Amino acid sequence: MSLPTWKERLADSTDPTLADEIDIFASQIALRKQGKVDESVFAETRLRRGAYGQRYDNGKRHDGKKVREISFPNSGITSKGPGTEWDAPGMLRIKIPYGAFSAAQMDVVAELAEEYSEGISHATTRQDIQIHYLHLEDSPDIMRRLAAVGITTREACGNSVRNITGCVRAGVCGGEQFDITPYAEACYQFLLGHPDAQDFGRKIKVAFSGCEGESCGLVSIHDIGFVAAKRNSDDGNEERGFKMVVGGGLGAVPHQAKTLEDFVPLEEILPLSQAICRVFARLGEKRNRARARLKFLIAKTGIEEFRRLVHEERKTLTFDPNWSDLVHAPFDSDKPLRQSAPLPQASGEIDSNGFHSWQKTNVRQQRQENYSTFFVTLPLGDISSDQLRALASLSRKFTGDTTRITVDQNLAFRWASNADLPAIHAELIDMGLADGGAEHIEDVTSCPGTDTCKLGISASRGLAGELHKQLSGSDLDEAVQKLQIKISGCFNSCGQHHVADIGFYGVSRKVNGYTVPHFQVVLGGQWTENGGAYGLAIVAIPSKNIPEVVRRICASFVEERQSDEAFQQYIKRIGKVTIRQRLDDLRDVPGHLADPSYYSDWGDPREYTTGDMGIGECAGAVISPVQFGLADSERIVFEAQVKLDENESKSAAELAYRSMLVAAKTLAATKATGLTDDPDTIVNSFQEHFLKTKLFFDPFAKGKFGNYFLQAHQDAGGDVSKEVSEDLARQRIEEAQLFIEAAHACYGRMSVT
Amino acid sequence: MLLDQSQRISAKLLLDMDAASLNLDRVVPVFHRWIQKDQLPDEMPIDVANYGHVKNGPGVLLICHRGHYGIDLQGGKPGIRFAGKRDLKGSAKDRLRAVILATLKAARLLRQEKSLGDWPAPQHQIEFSFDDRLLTPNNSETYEAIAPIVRELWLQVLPDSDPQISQGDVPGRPLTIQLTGTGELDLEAMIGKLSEI
Repeated sequence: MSLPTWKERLADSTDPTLADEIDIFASQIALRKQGKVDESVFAETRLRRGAYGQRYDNGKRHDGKKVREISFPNSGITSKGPGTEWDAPGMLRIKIPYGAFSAAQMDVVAELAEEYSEGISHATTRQDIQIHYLHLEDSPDIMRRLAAVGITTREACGNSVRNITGCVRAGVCGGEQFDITPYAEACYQFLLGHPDAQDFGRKIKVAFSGCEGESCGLVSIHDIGFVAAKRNSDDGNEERGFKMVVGGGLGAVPHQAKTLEDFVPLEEILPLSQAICRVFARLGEKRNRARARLKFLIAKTGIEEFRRLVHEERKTLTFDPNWSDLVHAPFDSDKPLRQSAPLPQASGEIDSNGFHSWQKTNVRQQRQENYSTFFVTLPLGDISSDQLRALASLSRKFTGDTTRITVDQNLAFRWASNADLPAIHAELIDMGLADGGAEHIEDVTSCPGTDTCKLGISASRGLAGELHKQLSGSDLDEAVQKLQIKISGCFNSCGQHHVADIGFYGVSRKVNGYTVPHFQVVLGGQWTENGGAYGLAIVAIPSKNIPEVVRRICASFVEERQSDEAFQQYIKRIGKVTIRQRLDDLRDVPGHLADPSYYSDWGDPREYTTGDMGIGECAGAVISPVQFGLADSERIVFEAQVKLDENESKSAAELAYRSMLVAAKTLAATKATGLTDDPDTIVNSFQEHFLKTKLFFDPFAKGKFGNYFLQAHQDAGGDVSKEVSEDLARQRIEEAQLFIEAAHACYGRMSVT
Repeated sequence: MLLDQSQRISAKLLLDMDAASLNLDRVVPVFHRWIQKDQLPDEMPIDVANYGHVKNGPGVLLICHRGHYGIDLQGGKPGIRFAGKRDLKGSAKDRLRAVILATLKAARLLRQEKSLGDWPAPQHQIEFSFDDRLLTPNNSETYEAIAPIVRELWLQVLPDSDPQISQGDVPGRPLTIQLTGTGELDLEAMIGKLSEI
């Protein structure tokens, strides 16, 4: 008897194209298992289908005392990719274009999380859903079930056009130019699987925003960004279009997007996007992943030349009717399910169940009278299958399919009649989803970090949970309530720490012979204006002291702010030097015996380090010359930031380079004697002992950080009279910080061996 | 109904306590220690996941290759759960037996954890979930087919227990079968009997 299959069960309800693609993926899995597909090719294949690796998928895990082998069944027989065990749990990223999440889709995602995973769905900062702890061989069935409700995971990862994000308040916001949703949908349909978007060195991220001023679209941090715009056409009518920006991105070295065109007519947004993809595919870096994003290509060519290249490319494109058909296709915009009606008069019941405080933080009036959008705050972006089903049911009852996943890892339900809000709130209480604080300080955003991510350095979710706990319900001053805290577990910025008011990213430090989890404190970022400014790291603080960092920064802002001064202005006025001084004592790490809690991370009781297990507590802290040298390099890169804040870009870049020289010399001195301060001597020694030997290589980034140093050294030997742009100075500072972090990590590895 | 082919079966032994009084943070180091000390010799443990921040969610989980162990809060009912994901073998009864045995062994280990303090006694109440919606769809036909197997197995372990069996009714959930008996559970004896079957 043959078993029933999801393929047969869903044959009639699945788009044939999606069904074929999934069948092909299933065949690729089978072929890889038989060893008939190269593992690197298979790795990129599965990534382009959204099937990611997950922490410990190399079959090794440190249990707090030693590294343990996890003997997965197919270990040594087959793999999902280089260094990735076949049977290790993985993550599936589910693309939800512009976060529009229907009730039917919620039901299916809830079922999948329950059946194949641990019953949790996770909302990401790019409006995706992720499910963890999956077996690769289950993924075709999971994809079939998603396809049956109109979801594809195609190009959710890999070197492709990723999920297209957009404002969650599109169509209901009072400040937008117009509803961007139909155009985001058109762009998604056009670029998905497009032949000109298949040969990139890295990914492309696209976002749509309805206005310049808010944060919902975050176009400035995207490779291609669209901001709704209008102009008067020649015939006197109002014409819709988009301002297009390009080359933004966070990651290790963030870049602000630059304006490609102030106004692009609707019919041109798709061909121009296609032209950008072609230029990127042709001229973008392919071999060096660290330099392969569009932002690096634009930094290299300059925006003017890039613009010229794109327009030249545009001229060569063969006409495609989709350019116009898709943007003008009839679009079924969200419509209210219920009649509009005002909020009922206050009653005892409403007053007593926390409705008003929830309403204050989680409900936004729409531009349509007596309709609101309400936000469901998801702790750490997580939601159980029971909750997700209950929300699907709630949306069917009150709002219809108007739900969007937000970049704050929450859910937004649009088109709620104000009259229904108390009943909605009561249902949310029953679901355990009536917490307030949406888009407020306690609503901390975090990437997965060390919980599940292979690249995580520190426990971003653990810290986010702790900050949420400490900040929720506390009697905070109005001035700080709307500050944004965002945390990444490493420098890659999936938690979007650069655009937070207070950002953190995970690093580690060798202290007293132990490795101690730390977070860099990032200040100066701007969440509004689509992620209008990027913050810079000012100091690394032990993880366990981060809540005190937040407390001090908030307290000083409340105490010292001038009238309605914004947080970003305040930081600028007070200066990073002052802020750093105020946090200086928090850099101290008590001895291991005095307080062992510093040596494990938030929410993870395992000892953080491996290298010095068994070595007793020192009588006093012994600071090695390497620690002194690296601390000095950190001081210099901080001075570089100060110069940048003072608009002295050239000095800032020089100091950033010098900080790398100091860090490199510090490491080189452990291998070579008699080193002078001559930059060439330092570079040669560093190359010989740390780059050629690969001792400096990061396990994932390989030689990337060393190359930052070599590039800076090469640039320093060039024309000294040449002006240095603010962008370049900022980039050099970011690179210097990463180089120094890599030096710390390298020193940690050297201490182990 | 194809329970004898299903890999996704879970069993949850309910605990006599209120969900709000359960401090899940204390369970996290326990699960980490189980990995360090190889306290589940039949399993291949991978990691610990804490979802204590999700109300009435899966709680704290010890992720293993074969399935996940958890202090589960779903439905607002705290319990010790083993959710099988793969490598279940044999007949429907064999598979049920395997997940019950895993659950009881975890319950026995937790009772021995001094760091958890007064860990509540398991109730004579167990909830089975048949998570494969394709092979064991949530309908009365599947329930009628599985319920007698559950009863037969339970009576083999506790012949005098007179179990009451009913179908869960939470909308959207996979098929759930609740078994309620009388008297205290002797974990050691039950594990012994199940191991012999």
